[in-house]
This record gives sequence, structure tokens and C-alpha cells, in this order.
Amino acid sequence: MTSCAGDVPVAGLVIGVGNPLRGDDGVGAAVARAVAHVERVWALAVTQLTPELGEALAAAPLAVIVDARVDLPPGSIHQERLTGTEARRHAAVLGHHLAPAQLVDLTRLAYGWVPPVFVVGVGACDFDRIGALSGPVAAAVPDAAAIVSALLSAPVASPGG
Amino acid sequence: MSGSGQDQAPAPARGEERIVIDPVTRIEGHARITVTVDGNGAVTGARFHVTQFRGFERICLGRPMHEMPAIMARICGICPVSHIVASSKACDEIMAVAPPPAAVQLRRVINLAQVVQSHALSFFHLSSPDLLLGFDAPAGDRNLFGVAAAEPWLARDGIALRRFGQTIIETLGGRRIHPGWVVPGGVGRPLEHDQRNAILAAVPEALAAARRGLRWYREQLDRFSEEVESFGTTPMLSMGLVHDDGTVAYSDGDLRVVDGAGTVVADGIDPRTYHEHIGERARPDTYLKATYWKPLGHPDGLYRVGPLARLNVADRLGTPEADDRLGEYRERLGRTPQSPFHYHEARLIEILHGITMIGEILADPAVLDPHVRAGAAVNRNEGVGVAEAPRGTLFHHYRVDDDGLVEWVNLVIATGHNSEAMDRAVAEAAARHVRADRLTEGMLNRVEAAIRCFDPCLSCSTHALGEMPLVIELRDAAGVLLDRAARP
Amino acid sequence: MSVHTFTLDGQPVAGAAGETILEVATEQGVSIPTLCHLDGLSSVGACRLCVVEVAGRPRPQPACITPVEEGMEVVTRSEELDEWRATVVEMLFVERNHICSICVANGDCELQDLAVDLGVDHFELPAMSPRLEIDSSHRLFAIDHNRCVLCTRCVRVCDEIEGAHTWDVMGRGIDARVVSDLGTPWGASPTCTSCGKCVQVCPTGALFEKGRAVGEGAKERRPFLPYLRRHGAGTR
Repeated sequence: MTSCAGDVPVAGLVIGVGNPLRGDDGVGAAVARAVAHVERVWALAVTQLTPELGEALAAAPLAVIVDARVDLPPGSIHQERLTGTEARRHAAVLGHHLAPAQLVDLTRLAYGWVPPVFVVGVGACDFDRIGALSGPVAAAVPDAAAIVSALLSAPVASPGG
Repeated sequence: MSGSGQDQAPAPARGEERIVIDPVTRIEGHARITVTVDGNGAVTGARFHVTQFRGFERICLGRPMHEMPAIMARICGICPVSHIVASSKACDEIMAVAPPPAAVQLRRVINLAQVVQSHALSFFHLSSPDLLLGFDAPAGDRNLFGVAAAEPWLARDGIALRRFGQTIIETLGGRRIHPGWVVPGGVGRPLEHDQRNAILAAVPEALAAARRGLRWYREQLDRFSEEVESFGTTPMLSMGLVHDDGTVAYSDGDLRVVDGAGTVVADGIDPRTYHEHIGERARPDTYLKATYWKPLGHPDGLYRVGPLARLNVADRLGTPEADDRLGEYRERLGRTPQSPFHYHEARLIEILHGITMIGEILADPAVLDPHVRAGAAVNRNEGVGVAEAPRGTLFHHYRVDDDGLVEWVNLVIATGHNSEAMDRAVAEAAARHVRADRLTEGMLNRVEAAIRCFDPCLSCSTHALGEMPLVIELRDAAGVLLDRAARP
Repeated sequence: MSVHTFTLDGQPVAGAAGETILEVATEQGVSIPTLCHLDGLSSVGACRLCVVEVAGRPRPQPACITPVEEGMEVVTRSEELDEWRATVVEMLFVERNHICSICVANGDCELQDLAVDLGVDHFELPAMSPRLEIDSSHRLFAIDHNRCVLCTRCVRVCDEIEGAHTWDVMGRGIDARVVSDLGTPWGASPTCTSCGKCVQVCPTGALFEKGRAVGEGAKERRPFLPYLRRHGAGTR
């Protein structure tokens, strides 16, 4: 799922989170695929955030994490920038299932630096279809991809923390 | 998952109380620990239960032999490679073929890569929090975040070593999990020039990480003399595979067994005859079959497998730097260390050896030989395949009909070999730390940490859905809940 | 040769008398999903995947066996047809045991491709999960009835091309099975020439070469019979 050419500096990392076999949970992967062709974008599709992604995150100048959200109306898109240290560390009992803020924390701790990280959430509702998104969520993919592309191309203030 | 209502533990005798730790965290899979204490709070026994039934030995009945590696890979998402190697070797036996030399070497490489990445997960991600921060540190800190905060390089090295192993598996097998590349008769595709060079280029960085981890562990060891003593030091047999020259083997070799004093009990045992030497016991309260070394009977024939046991049975590893570290280890701890705590150091030495060995094997251009697969029909109706999985010796034993359809399967897995050794380690750790009237965090974690030394892989492939709470229950003889401690 | 003109998805087209809708559509570059059909073999209209709507006819018609007629109005794509085809594929899946992850044909399977193309990503019908046997008695090949979709390509290629007529269909409906020599184990078949054509034309992993591991069952379905095309030259 890598679309960055070896020596060209990467403009941004996109991590689509979710399981495409679980209906709308696959929206993260779908958006990652949609932006994978954008020049100098490094797009990854993962089923969950793991500590290993810290390596990629620390190497990127900017990152966008795309995930499904059950607390938003289906197809609606919410974006936020993760700021400061949100020390939600306790939950990593098994060590391989992280929230975006935890991945950012872990990366900052382990690699001493973390790029600006945005989280784009897409409202999701139907998790029963195997490998397919529901209508409103599928329709939101191009919009979400456009938002991700815009985030990657916009100048960003240097990280606060 | 275990139903908390149906308690599978043996009923405690009159006047006894029982402590249940359910489920155990930071191990792969689901399990539960029952510690039985008498009225005075003295530990009378411990049992480690596996509460999931998988049924792989039934699923594959009637299937064509050539499907077996792919079916067996699904047993586990952590060490599928070892299952694929053992399964393919059982099929080699049934076909009565010897895989071409390049295929043998490539199977070694992928199995070693599996060992490296699995050991890195066990040590850096799961166990280093306890070692770095202490068993009594708050549970909220005792995880990879705590490690990254205190020793960032340690977290980075763990991540990098896992990437090293997984990248090799992906390169050779085509995917990280359940690669279909190791097949009956050899491997599916030859190694490409570029692939080989890419792996070789990653070796120095991985070696540096392995060295740092080992050095750091040795600096910590003095702080844990109590745990070293209390994690089950009862002398026990060790079993593992060794090559003819006495070096440790992972994908081939014969079985060797040594006792607690380092005396060789059995050597040069053809692993295909394992059933003549290894007894299996099914037990009513766990789905884990327990094993023992038949000639010594039960319980004298209890043995351990895995990193600690492999280092105990082998004369040496076969790579100079790792052998130097092994020499120092033996100088400090004796020829055959017995405390399961030393699984950690054994694991780190194996990581160093594994990376070096991968580099040595791939340095030989013969590994690029395009001839990597032998073909044949069914020439025998029975085959045993053996491999050293990260956690220990793994046997796959199949019987097929004349047409190659599977009629019977027996699997003996590392955690089965180790199950009674784990019971003992838990009992000893509990005896030191469990008090019937006090459910302290430190006790809880020491009992768990004793188990984690073995890095048990329990039901495999089922990653936890969400975070599992740790619950410990204290019950009286009638099963009435007396006390309960839980952490979120 | 007389020529019929008619419309295909609204476009005027012409076909020779005796040609089927599928043949003309193929010549016109209009793709219609098929499964039991294979160029060079007779058409039987068994799988019903190639159904098209023909104005004036009450039910969808199988394109592979419906001859073109003057003035016909044929529609090859519609929501109803998509649903129909998807249901056919779903029924094929639930009727037997198609487990791609351990299948020799994984990645080279026409049923798998159809499911992807038609968006069949889950089953609403209950899986029947029958326990079916594998006949692995042949020296080179095996048949796993769990993966058979009863397309009868094997029956036809063996009869029409090889001339051996080893395969037949026994039983009816849900109990139907492809059998060799009236139920003789394949390995004991007196008629089988071991030519392997049935294995090559099988759309799934039901017929496979022994010794192939998962995903290694690459078959040569299309190039296998190019010389037998009745119309035009070369393959699609």
C-alpha cells in the first residue's frame, strides 16, 4: 500500500484504520486508497493502530489518520488536529491496539518527535457488509479524500508539543 | 472466552481457598489462573487453564494433504510460519522427498525471522515494562508507553526488531501473516537477488538493536534476584532440536533431552519417533494437553521447551558472537539454568543468533538456486514434521490414505510441552507472593510474570477484542466469593 | 447467410442467423457475466448468470442459448439483472463449501471473480455446509465436490473434445453430483485418458492437479480451446 517513491521526500503519511471485511469500518482503508496516487503521499491501510506505526509516523512531516466513527451521522466528516499530550496510556494492556492519541504519545516518547497529526473521522453505521461500504459512507469517500489531500498540501504550524 | 460462572478448576478440599486470576493479560490468547491456598494462606497448588477449544485436529480430516500447511497456518497469527514449516515437513515425509538444499535454507531463514519477531514482541513489548519499571510500578505505567517514556531506545529497538523479522517473512512469503510460500516439498518461489540484498542490508541495524537489548537486560538482572529465585527453580528436563554438530536447530535436527544438572538424558532421537518418547495427558480442567518424557514417567519426566530449553540442550549456537554471549550466560548461571526467569535472556541471545544466522545463510549465493521444490505423490501414509517454534518444539503428525486425504492428525505444541512447567512456576511464584488475605498488585503481576516468561501462545490468532480486565478472585471452599480485586 | 438486426442496450447491432445473444454481444464488446459457458463447448444455459432482458418475454433469457431474432430489444445491464446474477452467485456459494483461503484456486477462480465483479460480499441465505467428499483416487488429479458449481464444463469437454465421456451428472437438484463412469472412483475409470482437459476448464478449485498447494492452481481456461471458436478468429 505504499505509494512513495524511495528517495523522494514524503509530503505526508495517511493511515487508514479499519477492517474492510466489516462494512463501514473499511472507510479508512477506502480513503487511504483514494489518496494513494497523490504525489509523495505515503498511504497505509491497517486494521488497527499498532506501536509499529510509530516508526512511519516519526519519519513523516505530516500525518492524517482516517477512521470510522459511530458517534457521527453516517457519511458526515469530522476533522481535528491532535494537540498536546493526551496521556491516555493506561489502556495499552495488550500492547497492540492503540487510539490515535496513544499512537501520537508513543511516537513522541519513543522517537522524541511527532509530526502534526490530523484525525479525519467518517460517520459509519453498517458493519455487517463484507468488503462494502453503505451508501452514505461510500458517497463520503471522495469528500474525505479531498479533505485529506487539502490537509497534506496546506502549510501547517509547527507542532506545539 | 471463559464463562466466569462455570468454574473448571478442581474443587478445593475442605478448608482451602482458591484465587482465580482471570483472564491473564499481556500474553497471547486467553487463559485463567487458579491458585489454591489452605486456611493459613499457604499455597497448595496452581493450575493454568486454557479455556478455548480450537479443534484443528478435526477440521482437516478428509482434506488433501497439500492443503495442510495453509489450514495449519490459521492456528496462529503470531507464529504461523512455524506451523507452516512443521506441516510442510510432515508432508515431505508423506511424499518421501528431500527438499532441495536452497529450499531447506530458505525455510530456515523464514523460521528464524519468525523467532526474531516473536521474541522481540515477547521481550520488548510484553516483558520489558516489568523489567524496566519494576513489578510493583503502577499497572498504568507498566506497558510500552512507560518503556518509551523511560528508555525510548528500548521501545524503538523492539519495534525495529519486529519490523526486521516481519519484513523478511513478507519478502519471502508474500505476506506477513499466513504466508503460503512454504509448501510440501520445499518452497513456492526461489529467492530473488534483490530480495536477498534487501534483507542482508537490514542485518547490521538489527544486530545493533539485539546487542543493545541484551546488554541492557544484563544490567537489570541484579535487581530481580528474588524473582529469579521464585519463578520455579525446580530442576526439570529440557528438550529441543540440535544439529549433528551439537549446534541449536530450528527447522531440522534431532531431539536432545538434558536434565537439570546438564546430563544428557537422550540424544540423537529422530523426531519422527516422538510418540515413542513423549507421553501426552489430557486433563479435565483445561484444553491443553500436557506432555512428559516417557522413559522417566510422570511427573519425573516433566520438561520445558523454548528458548531456555534450546540453550540448555545445545552445545553451542553456531554463530561466534551469540556463542560468546551464551558462554557468559552459562558462566553466570550454570550450564543449564533452571529458573524460567532466564527465558528472557535466552530469548535475547536467540534474537542475536537468529539475525546472525539469517545473514550467514543469505550470504551464500547457493540460496538463490532456482531449484527449490521437490514433487512426488503419496509414498508413505504417515508423516511427522517438526520445527522449533519461538515458544518451543512443535510436532505435526499426519496420517493420510493412499490418495493423500488426511485421516488423522496429532499436534503437539510448545505450550502443551510447557504446561506443567508453567503450573509449577505459578505455584512457586504464588507461594512467595500470594497471601490469602491480601490481593496485592505486586503478587498478581509476579504470578502473571512467571507465566509470561514462557511466552505462552494459548489459543492464538484471536487478538483480544478491546482491552481485557485483569480479575483476581478469592473464594472459599464452597466457592463463595470472599474478596475480589480488578484493574481496569 | 441471413442477418438479423436488433438492439443491444439500445444500440442497433446485427448478427448472423443462428448466433446467440452472447456471441453477438461479445463481438460488439459488450460483456455479459458467464460461468457455465466456455467458448468451444456446447452451451447448456445451466448457470443462469448470462441472463438478459428481451422485450416482450416474461422472464430474463440466458444469452448463451438464446438465438438472435430480427427486431429484438435486448438489455444486458439493469438493476434487476444485477440482483438476479448476484443471487445466483450467492446461491452457488451457500450450496457448498467455498473457502478461498485454503483453496488451490484462490486468486484464479471464476466464482471468486464473479463475486467480486457482482459485489457479492456477504451471504444473506443460510450456508448449507454439506459434508461432501473428495475423490483423490486418480494418479494426477482430484475432485473436491465441496467446490463444484455443477457448470458441467468437465462433462462437455470430456465428451465433445476428448471424446471419452468419462463425466456425467448424477442425481437431481441439490443432490446432483458430477460422477466419473457412473460412480466409479476416478482412479479406476476405464474411460478417462488422464488428458486433464476437465481440470483446465473447471472454473473453481473443484477439479485440480494433485500436488498443487493453496493458490497454485493456475489454469489455462481460455487459451485451451481457441481453434474451436465457431465465429471469428482468436480469442476475446
